[in-house]
Amino acid sequence: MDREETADSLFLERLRSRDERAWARVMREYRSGILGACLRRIGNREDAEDICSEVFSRGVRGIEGFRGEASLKTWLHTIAAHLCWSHHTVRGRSNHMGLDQIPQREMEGGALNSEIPSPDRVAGSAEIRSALDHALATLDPVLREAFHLRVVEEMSYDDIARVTGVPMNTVKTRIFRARERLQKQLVEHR
Amino acid sequence: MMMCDAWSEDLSAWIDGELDSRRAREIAQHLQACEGCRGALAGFQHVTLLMKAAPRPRASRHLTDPAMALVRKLSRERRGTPAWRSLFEPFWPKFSLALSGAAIASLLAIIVGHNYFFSNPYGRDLTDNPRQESAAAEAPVGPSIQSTKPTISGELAVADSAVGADRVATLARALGGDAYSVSTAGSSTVFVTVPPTKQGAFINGLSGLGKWQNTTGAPSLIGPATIGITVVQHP
Repeated sequence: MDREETADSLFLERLRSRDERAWARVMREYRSGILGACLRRIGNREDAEDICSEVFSRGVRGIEGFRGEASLKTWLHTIAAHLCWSHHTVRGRSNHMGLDQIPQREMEGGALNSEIPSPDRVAGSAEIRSALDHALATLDPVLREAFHLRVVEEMSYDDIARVTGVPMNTVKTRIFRARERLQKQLVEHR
Repeated sequence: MMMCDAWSEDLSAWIDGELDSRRAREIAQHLQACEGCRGALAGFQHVTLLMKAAPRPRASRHLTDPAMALVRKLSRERRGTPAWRSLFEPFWPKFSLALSGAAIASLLAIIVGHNYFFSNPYGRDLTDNPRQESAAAEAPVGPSIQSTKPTISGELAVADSAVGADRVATLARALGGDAYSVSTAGSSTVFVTVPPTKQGAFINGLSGLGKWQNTTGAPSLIGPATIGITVVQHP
């Protein structure tokens, strides 16, 4: 067991003993990502917040069931995915919240790597953002989910397969389809 | 120009770094030769960057308040800490310190009080009468009587010194005390302790056994005392 694994197992032990500081760190680190993924799936801010809150409560209760086969982040996203699909089944809807529907004060800039052009340069005008938002809104929810987890949450195909419960090849296809359709819509928009 | 169907999905996976090195090299070589796939790659990269640059929702800290409350509850249950302690949670460290201090002070008070009571069971002010304090500390019982210097000494003249010594010891024991005797030729010395309330009765009893003479004057018999009685044979 290397140092990183030892540190992980010690941290996991702290989570299992319901160490407040350890859990506060987990929640601080993952709550925005979980909320973003929920919002992309169900489109309603209030419901997404309720689900996000429930994800962490379930995580706290069920941490003994976390076997460490995937990362903690993947495990929490899996709980979020199940809750969102349950919500979708109960409510019988899957609205996608457009980017322009999210108040600006609730937003923060995307985390970009240094070699990637700035958000303003890439996203360009509000018109392009709006076009992307429209394209995402009309995208199949399973494609949107896979693409969001890959690009925004930077999860591997293997982790996305765990979260969504489908084979890795299906994840690969979904992400390709999402890119293809979004690109097509943006080209048509021009 | 269209991209090649054979490469399409792998082109997307190549952007994500999900291809093995052999397949990644093949893609790179193909891209040099295929304008259609280069165009598709540029389009894929564009939507990826747009998505990455899209605003993200900011989650309020209070969103996880219920989960943190659950952490604290389960943590308390795990440690066996009672729920009432949550009332003191904000200032618990200071409160527990004060509580510990009070507990230690109470314990010390009990120990000191216990020692004082048992060293002075009759409640006398020992500092006013150091001689009696010393006697109290040295109150002999059983064999240790022998090594104790008598507080009162006297001589008892009887017809038979051995029988007289036995009777003195019997008298002392009858009054709740103890006795130890040393016999020599023609006389016996009996060291006796009797409870303070019985000392008067003991002296009176001695007078009934023979001719008693106190050789230490007339001490006040207050408190534990050792009485040394030399029992001599009357001529």
